[in-house]
Order: sequence, then structure tokens, then C-alpha cells
Amino acid sequence: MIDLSLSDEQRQIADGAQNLLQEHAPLARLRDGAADADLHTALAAWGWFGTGLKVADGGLGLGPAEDTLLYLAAGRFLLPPSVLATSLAARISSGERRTALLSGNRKAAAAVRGNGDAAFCLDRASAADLLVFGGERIWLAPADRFVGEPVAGFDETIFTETGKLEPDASWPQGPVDHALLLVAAMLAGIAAASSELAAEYAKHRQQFGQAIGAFQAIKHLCAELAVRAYAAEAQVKIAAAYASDDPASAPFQIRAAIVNALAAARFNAATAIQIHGGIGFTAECAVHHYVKRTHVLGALVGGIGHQQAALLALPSPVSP
Amino acid sequence: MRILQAAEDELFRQEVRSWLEANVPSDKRPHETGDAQRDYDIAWRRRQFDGGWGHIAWPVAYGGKGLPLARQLIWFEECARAGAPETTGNSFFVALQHAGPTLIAHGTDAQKAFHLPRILSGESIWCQGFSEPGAGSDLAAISTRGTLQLGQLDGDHLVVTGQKIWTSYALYASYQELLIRTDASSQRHHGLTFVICDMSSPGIEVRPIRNIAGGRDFCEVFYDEVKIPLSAVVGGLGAGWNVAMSLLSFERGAASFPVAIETASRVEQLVAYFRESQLDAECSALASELASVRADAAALKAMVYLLIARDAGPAEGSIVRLHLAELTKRISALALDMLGAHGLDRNVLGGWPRRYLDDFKTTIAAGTSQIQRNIIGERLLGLPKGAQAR
Repeated sequence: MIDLSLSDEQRQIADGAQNLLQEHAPLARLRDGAADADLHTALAAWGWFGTGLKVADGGLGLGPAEDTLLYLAAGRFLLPPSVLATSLAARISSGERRTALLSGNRKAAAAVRGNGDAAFCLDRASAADLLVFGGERIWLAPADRFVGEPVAGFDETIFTETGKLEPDASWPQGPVDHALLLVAAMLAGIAAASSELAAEYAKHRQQFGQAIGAFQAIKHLCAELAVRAYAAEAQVKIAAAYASDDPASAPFQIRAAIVNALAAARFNAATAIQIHGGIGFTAECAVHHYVKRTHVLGALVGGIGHQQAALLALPSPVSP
Repeated sequence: MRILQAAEDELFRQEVRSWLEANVPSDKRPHETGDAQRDYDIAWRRRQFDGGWGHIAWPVAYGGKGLPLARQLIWFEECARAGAPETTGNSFFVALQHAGPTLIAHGTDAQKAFHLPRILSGESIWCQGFSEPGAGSDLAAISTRGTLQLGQLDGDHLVVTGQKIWTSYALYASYQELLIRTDASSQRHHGLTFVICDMSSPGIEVRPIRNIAGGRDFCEVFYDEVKIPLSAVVGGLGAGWNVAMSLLSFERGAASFPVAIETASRVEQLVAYFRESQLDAECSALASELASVRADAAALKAMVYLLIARDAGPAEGSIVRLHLAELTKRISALALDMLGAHGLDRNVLGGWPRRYLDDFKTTIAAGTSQIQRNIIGERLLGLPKGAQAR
């Protein structure tokens, strides 16, 4: 039986994450120039990076379902990719390195390989490790193995470098599936937050003597965003439930989640700008961050074309 | 958020699976609407009823098994897996997916005891009498009149005169869920009454309308002083709007459950066809759209489970209904593109080209996509009503 309601414990985790991020990562921080310096420490103290790890490995002993709840919130609050990278790094590392990552004393930054031997690094500055997205695998590299130079980052809240990074067989590595699930959760969070910002604006912005949300041209777009956000959240949650309780069926559900969430986040964030009109085109309004972050997260997982091909290559899901 | 693998559920699934393996008809449902198609639907319904599978969730007293929703979903999944006849476009869709649930919620004991077993046994097909020529999306504008006549020799009754339209299965239906205006001075959603109309009553004339897919299963229905006994009123005189809204919440909510499961299963047929035909070598646009609908169909099923888990108000059903309706059209359009010249035969590959034509109805029936977006915008997101919607 598939039950997508939250258990009491899951509800506590979801609410706890929401409150934690409200306090330590309010969206307004992005406009004022990203001040995420203390964020890792606060998250680590809360147990964020080890939520899905076994107690014996220094984690909280929960599973992919609970991790997913954290990353739905992480998407809404636009937590930097280094948070995602550190969670994933803790999963595939061991010993003192893992202990340091879990405690917040050590940070991983996200990196992704592009065409040829080009690679891109995100927020490497204070990171000791790189969590490298390399197609169907993720790798954990020492940060100093990357040699590169800064570029004009697509997402200005992320310090972006381009350079070279040759994979080394000795680096810890793992399959990409859990990373895809968490990225899909962040994208679903973005789709939901964009939808809510747009509806809220449509309720209050007055033109032609009434709230613009009264016009069907706007109302129907808002409804469309709500549908896509609902679909993305539902698919991410079912994928997370499978990843926790029926891992054999999880790959199909996770691929469906990432394909769905990539499209939903892209459409919702872009449409939210349109619904905001002129103010949506300004840096004053938070919506542009969702557009930019959607592209960054999509790039980490190889983009929608790669994920669509991967989904289509999978066999049909079997009834339990 | 969990997948519970309970041993009892597994036993139930195995029981369902074995029964379906032995009982799913080997012949396919006729493509053309008509008596043969109706008889096929009746035969399949009877077989389920006789096998003890009349309904998974309806109360035992009315011929169901009285089991929880989770078991009902297992039944739908196993039906899709076994290639059983679909609930979509089936002659019993109205009876099973909205008339029955509405009677269970609002009917009298006598109405339930009479009608529910007859639906499950395949004795009664139902149709819906809501839309009128002047009342489509604006349902509250209905003008078909029911005049109260009390103290007659043949009992108290309503005399109904007017016209309904877009009435699927009216030619074959024994009963109709009929919404009429019983207070002549009333406006809009006041003064309406929901009645069970016996389609064999004198004064009813049914005229089939040919639809764009060639079907003749939806009709105009004319009422000329049709007598309907007061015992056929559901929910009380003047309470029709509430009963109708409750019915629509079933039509836009739980009725999506089997359809969502069938839709996901149909997409897998297309994936298989795509591989067999090696279409990926031909056009990456088809591959991209196929992957996209595969993800959206998976999400549609997930949305059903999320809807159930959240147990929220009826407006959330419109979210699932809207996604379902729009996705259904995308899927059959993709099938048509994949088929290329083969699509010149309407009935090829299980009738995808015919389905493409038939699926135009999905974003019109049960509330157009535009009406669903109004509902989502106003009732779920709290956006203000526009000047044109009173």
C-alpha cells in the first residue's frame, strides 16, 4: 500500500526544517548578498547532513523519505548547492572525513563535468571536498584537485569557476540515484514556492480596478502552476517512499521525479516572472533566483534531455 | 510517506490477480458504439458481480465487499495489469463513478437498496442529466422545470418538462441523475432538485448526437410532462445544488483513480511500441515527448495517492482532474504522431487514432479545463472571482 501522508516523525522533520530555514536562511538574505557563512554550522547542529545515514555511521538513522522532506524545504529556501554536496559527500565518504562533514567542520562544494574534460565548480572557496556529478555516478574529490578560474556565474549567488577535473579511480564514488532524488525534491520545492509567490502577487496587485488574479488570463496561469507544483511534489514523494521501502522499484520513480520536477520548476519559475510583470524583471523580486537555481540544478544532473533519455531506457514499472 | 507491504494486502492482490487471469474477456471491446459494445460492458460487469467482485469499496449490504480504499486501488492496478476492460468510456462509468457514490452519500435507504445492487449486477446503466443547451459551463442556469403535483391518485410527483444535452449512454440507460428547477421563482443555484429519473417513463425522447469520433453514445434528452415520483428525489426538494456539487466532487475526484492507473498503463503500451518500431532512430522529438508523458503519467498516479493522503476539500480533486484531462490529450496526440501513416486506420494498435478523436472530450466533460482552472484559482488559491462569474 502506498501511503503519502506524513508520519508524526516525518511531520516533525518537515516542520523542523521549515522553521530552521526560516530562521537561518530567509529568502531576503539573497537580495542582501548571500550570507550563508553560518548556515552549515546551524544545519550540522540540527543534524541535517546525517538525517538519512545510519546511527552507526554518525547519522540520525532515518531514510531517503526524510532526506527528501529536508530538500523540498531546501529548494523553497534556495539553500546553496554546497549543502546538497555536503549531504551527498557524507553518504559516500567514511571515517574522520565523514565525521567532519557531518559536524559542519568540513564542507563539500558541488562540481559537474561538462563536455570533454571541462568541469564547473560551485562555491569552492571554503570547501575541502568536491562532490562531482559525473552522469550516472557521483564522486568525492579533494577540492584542490580542481584547477580553474572564475566565470560570470549564471546564478550570481553562487561563485562559479570553470576548469579541469580528471576523475580518479581512487575517489569514493556511488550511484547518482540518491542525488537525483534530492535534486528533484529541491526542484519540486522551487516549483511550489514559485507557484505560491505568483498567486500571492496576483491576489494583491491591483490593475483596472481589481486584483489581477480576478482576470482569467492570470488566474488560469496560477492554476497551471499549482497543478505542476502538485504533480512534482507527488512524484517526488512517491519516489522517496519507494527509495525508502522498495529500492528495486525506486529507479523508475526517481527518474520520473527528476524529469517531472525539472520541467515543473522551469515552467513555474519562468511563468511566475511573467505574472509579476515589470517587478518580476527586477532583482528586487525573489522570483529570478528560482529561475537561475533551476538551471544550476538541472546542469548538475545533465539536463532534461539526458534525464528523459535515461527514463525512456528503463523497463516498465512492475506492480508490486 | 511509505510503501507498506502488508501480508494481507499481498494475499488480496494474489486473489485478485488469479481471478482476473481466469476471467478477463479474451475478446476485445468493440470499437463502434452500439448494442454490441453495450452488451460487452454488461457481460463484463455481470461476470465481476457473479464472481463476488461487484465492487471493492461499496458496502456489503449493497453487493460490494466493503473494503478500504487501498484495496480498491489494488483492484484497479491489477485490472490494468491484466488488460481488463477499462472504466474510461465504459457504459457503467456514470453509474459506478458518480451516481452510486452520490446515492451512498445522499440517497434514502430505499433508493440505496433498490439501485446500488442493480448497478453492480449490470442491470442498470445510468446517464447524467445536468447540461442543457443554455446551461453548459454555467450549470446554475438550468431551466428544465419540475412542477410539484400533490394528492394525485398515483401518488405525489414532479412533472418535468425541458431538455438536457451531452447525455452519454442515454440510449441504453435505465436511470438518470437529473437536475431540475423545482421552484419556478428561483434563481441560479437555488430552487434546484436532484432526482432519479426512470428513463422508460412516458414523455421522454432520446435523440443520439453523432460525435467527432463517430460515436453515438451521447444524446439530447427531451422531457414532455414526465412524471417522477417524489420518492425519487435525492437529498430533498430544493437541495439539488448541494447534491450536484457532491456528485461533481466524485466525478472530478475519485473517478480519476482508475483512470489515472489506466492512463499510466496505456503510456507503457506506447513505450513498448516505440521500442519495437525503433522510432528513436527517427525523431528525438517523439522520444522527448514520450519521456515527458511517461514522467507525467507516473506523477498522475502519485497525485492520486497524494490526494488521498491529504484528504483535502473537493477543489484539490480539480488539480488531479485537470492534469489527467490535459495529459490524456497529449498522450493520444503523441500516439498519433508515432503511428505516422498507420494512423490512417482509426482502429490500429488498439484504436489510438479513434481515441485521439474521442479524447477531445476529456478537457470538456465534467467541467472544461477552463472551469477547473477557475475552481483551482478561486477555491484553492483564493484568487478573487472575476466580474463575469457571479
